[in-house]
Amino acid sequence: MSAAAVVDRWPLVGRWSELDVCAQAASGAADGVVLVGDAGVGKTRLADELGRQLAREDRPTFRAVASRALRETPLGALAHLLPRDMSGNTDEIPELFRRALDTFAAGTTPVLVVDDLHLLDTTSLMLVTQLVANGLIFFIGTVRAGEATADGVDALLRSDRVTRIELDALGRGDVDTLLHLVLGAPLDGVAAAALWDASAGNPLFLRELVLSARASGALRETDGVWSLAGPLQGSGRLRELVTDRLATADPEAVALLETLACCRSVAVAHALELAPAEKIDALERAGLVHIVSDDRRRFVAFAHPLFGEVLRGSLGALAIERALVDEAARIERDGARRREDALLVASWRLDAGVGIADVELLLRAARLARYAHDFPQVAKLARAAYRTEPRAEAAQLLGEALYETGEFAEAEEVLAPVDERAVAEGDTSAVAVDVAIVRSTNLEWGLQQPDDATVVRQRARLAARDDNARALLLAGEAAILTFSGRPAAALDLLATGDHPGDERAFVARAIGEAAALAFTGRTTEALEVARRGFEVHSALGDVVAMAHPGSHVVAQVLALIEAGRLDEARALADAVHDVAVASGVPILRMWATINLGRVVALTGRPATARRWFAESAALAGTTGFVTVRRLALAGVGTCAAMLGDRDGAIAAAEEVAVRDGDRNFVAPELWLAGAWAAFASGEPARARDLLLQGAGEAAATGHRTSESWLLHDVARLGAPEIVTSRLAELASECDGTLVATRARHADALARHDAALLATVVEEFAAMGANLYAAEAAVAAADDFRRAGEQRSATSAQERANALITECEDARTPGLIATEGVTPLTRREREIATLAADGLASKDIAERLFLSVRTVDNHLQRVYTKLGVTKRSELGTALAQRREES
Amino acid sequence: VTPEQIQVVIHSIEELRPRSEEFARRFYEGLFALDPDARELFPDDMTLQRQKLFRELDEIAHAIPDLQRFVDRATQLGLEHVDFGVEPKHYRAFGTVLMSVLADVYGDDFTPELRDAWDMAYRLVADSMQRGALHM
Repeated sequence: MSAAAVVDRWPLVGRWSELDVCAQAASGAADGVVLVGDAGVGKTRLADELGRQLAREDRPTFRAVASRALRETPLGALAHLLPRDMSGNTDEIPELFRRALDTFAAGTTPVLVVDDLHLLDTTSLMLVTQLVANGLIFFIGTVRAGEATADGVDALLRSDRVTRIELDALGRGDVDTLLHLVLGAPLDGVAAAALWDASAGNPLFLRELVLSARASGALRETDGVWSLAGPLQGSGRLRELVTDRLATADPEAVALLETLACCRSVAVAHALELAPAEKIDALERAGLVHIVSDDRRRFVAFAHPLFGEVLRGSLGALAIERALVDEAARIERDGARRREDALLVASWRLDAGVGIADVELLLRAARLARYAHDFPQVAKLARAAYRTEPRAEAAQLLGEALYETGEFAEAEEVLAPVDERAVAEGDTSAVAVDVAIVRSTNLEWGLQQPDDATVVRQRARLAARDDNARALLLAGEAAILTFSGRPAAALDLLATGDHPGDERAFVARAIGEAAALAFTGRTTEALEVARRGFEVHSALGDVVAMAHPGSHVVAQVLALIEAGRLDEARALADAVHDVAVASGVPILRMWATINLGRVVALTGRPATARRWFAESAALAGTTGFVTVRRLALAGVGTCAAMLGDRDGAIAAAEEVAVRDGDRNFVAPELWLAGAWAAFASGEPARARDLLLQGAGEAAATGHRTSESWLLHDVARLGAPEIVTSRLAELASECDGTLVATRARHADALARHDAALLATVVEEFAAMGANLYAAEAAVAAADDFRRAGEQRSATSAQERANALITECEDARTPGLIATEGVTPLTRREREIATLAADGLASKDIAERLFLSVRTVDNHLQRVYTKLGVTKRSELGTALAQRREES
Repeated sequence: VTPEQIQVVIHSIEELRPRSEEFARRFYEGLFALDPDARELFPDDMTLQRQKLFRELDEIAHAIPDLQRFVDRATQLGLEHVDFGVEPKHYRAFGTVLMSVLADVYGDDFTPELRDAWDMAYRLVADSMQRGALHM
């Protein structure tokens, strides 16, 4: 075998079982394989071999290599595989890509090999993930072990449709076989052992050791046997060896090597401008570079990406910039022939900080990045475009990216002038409308200025001549009204619409309309609107400036809750939550968890509900949705109070800080937090005042279901008589059983109607609202007892006891019979007795090895159970209890 | 495989030649015990097959010193075995059985040097055959 063979690609050795697993995956067991291993372990070699095997079976096979040089370029690594015309709707990218592959595929699933996934740009990663998820390709990827990877790569690796293969170093026997085959003759035992020891079975390391030892003469052949004439070089680490090898390169080749390190590969014609032909030949003979061809041209690249990585690491920022800019100039001079070239040039210049004029190109790149929801990247590209030429489309993309990344003030700075200019000039183009929509969304959700948001949208709507645009803007305005807490006004506005608009307008309208209908108690209509919204939205796909299709399901859950269909609501909320977790969209998770909190709270499980609300509050905190965060915190506080955790309830209420005229989208329910905190602090009268205040706000904004919730809580906290008439009115205005049963519950409490209470118990229980049912049962037992109907009283109390076991640790006043007794636990009795003896909480805590907070929590529950508000009353109440039992 | 190991294997084959029939019989017994499914890869009458085993072993071991001739032969063998339905797992089973039959036949004379030499030689053969099977 000639010496050149050593430089050529080495044969595959010792990977037969891995190749077997890959082949099984490719024949239908999976949608892809990902090979994970250290640098130089042979991932690419194996991936290529598998690709080649599949190509032999007439499966069309495409190859892409991710790299540092392409990482910041949206679709950089896959650009050469894409159809030329990609300027259209970016939502069609997966379809366009599939079609491009299909032209080669002719019916069979194409194979896509992507090398170095950990370096793949986010847009390409998104595309690959979608193609794999939809079974449109068989995917083969490689990932360097221990490299930080994007979420998308982790998701691919976790997918059960993708087989993950860990590639370890070769064993001793395989190393010997490899050396024997490559060198074309056997090695003596000493040489074989030395190479094995130094390389530790890493094939790239082995190759570099052999090449370097051959070049230095340390490894030589005598009489058909290879042996060592001197020590092996660089037996430390692979990177050091590579550094040493690069250092031996001819000075005249340095410019070429540096350019390769920055740009990954250069055309042979360009390489010849950087180094003389014989120097390039020498590099190739030394195994540092190789010359590769695609169907159009030949180019020079490093023999392994590790060379480029090591060299790039030794270059200063200026040297990298110069290499990128110079290569960009050469590509442009020759007319940027390949379709990916133009994008590369733009991206490199952007990285190098050199101003560029091609706004079209930057916008296209920004749209691609937007398709991958890579908003930091969108911001970078759109900002460069906007600085070059402050076009409306650049402003729209930049503004939206800033909004999505939480830079609300800067988003307004960018969008405001463009929007104002459009208004002044009477510009009603689609882009102008989109700018107005993005600006008003930012004003609404980001800057929390719903009135300004409405003005922006209204202005654009009144100016718009196009029916669809008007319908879209009207839908948006209504959504702002709904989500800033005026559902009745939102429905009124929608009724003024003169044109239904296209599907996009319909979908935009459905989100706000379904929620507004649910809040105003028209749950049946709400469900219908949400259902159709979801259908149309799903068919429409993921369009720019629109919410996730899951938003409709969120509205559906809301409607089911208000209708009192809690089981269905719970099942659907769980499903939304699964989708949200799987798709990794934090905003959808935030909505899913707050809905779960809401439905679970209504089923009377405050501990579980509190956890969901807390998760939602945390998610809302990270996504910047202050309105949702406050609503979730109100849920946390309310549940805390129902569990007897006074401190938790107060802390939550303080953060919610509800105020008159609050613009939260369910503002009335924010009052629950303060009210229940007041109750937990032993101030039931103040609690009722706060609830009535919230109910007043609800009546003004049309939040009928919230109003019913608040008034019902007034009844539960001991004043049913003042809310019965309004609750009855609400029941007549709303559909669904929840509002109606709440009204009956209050009425029965006010009139001490034990029989009606017993009916209400079963109505709530049928809905799954167990806490309400339990409270009604306790009241029924009380009233039966008072009326002397002992048997009915006992039976109602038994029903209550059974329901209470479903309510976790709920300790609401309705669970405490005025006539009956809720027994103290052993711990509660112990603490109560010590407190009655005059010990301070701190002393009790020390004596019982508890925290002061725990002691106070126990005492709070004792107060509730015994119906006292002060320590001084404890002794008497305890004595009374003892007499009774 | 070092030159010494090649010599060790070639010498070992000469030692086994008089017992080639027994060696082949034990080999197939061991293989079918380890992997009963492998029986399907062979004809019902194993007489010819037993003769073939030793002949191939003999030929390929002697070819190792001339690597190009060896690789060509192994490639050819690998391709033929694809047609017989031989898969990667069979190569592993063959190797295991080969080593245990050698250990049986040699008894106490199966030194670590002899074992390593056979092990390395088999790897080189199996690897080259599998590469051939995949047109690599």
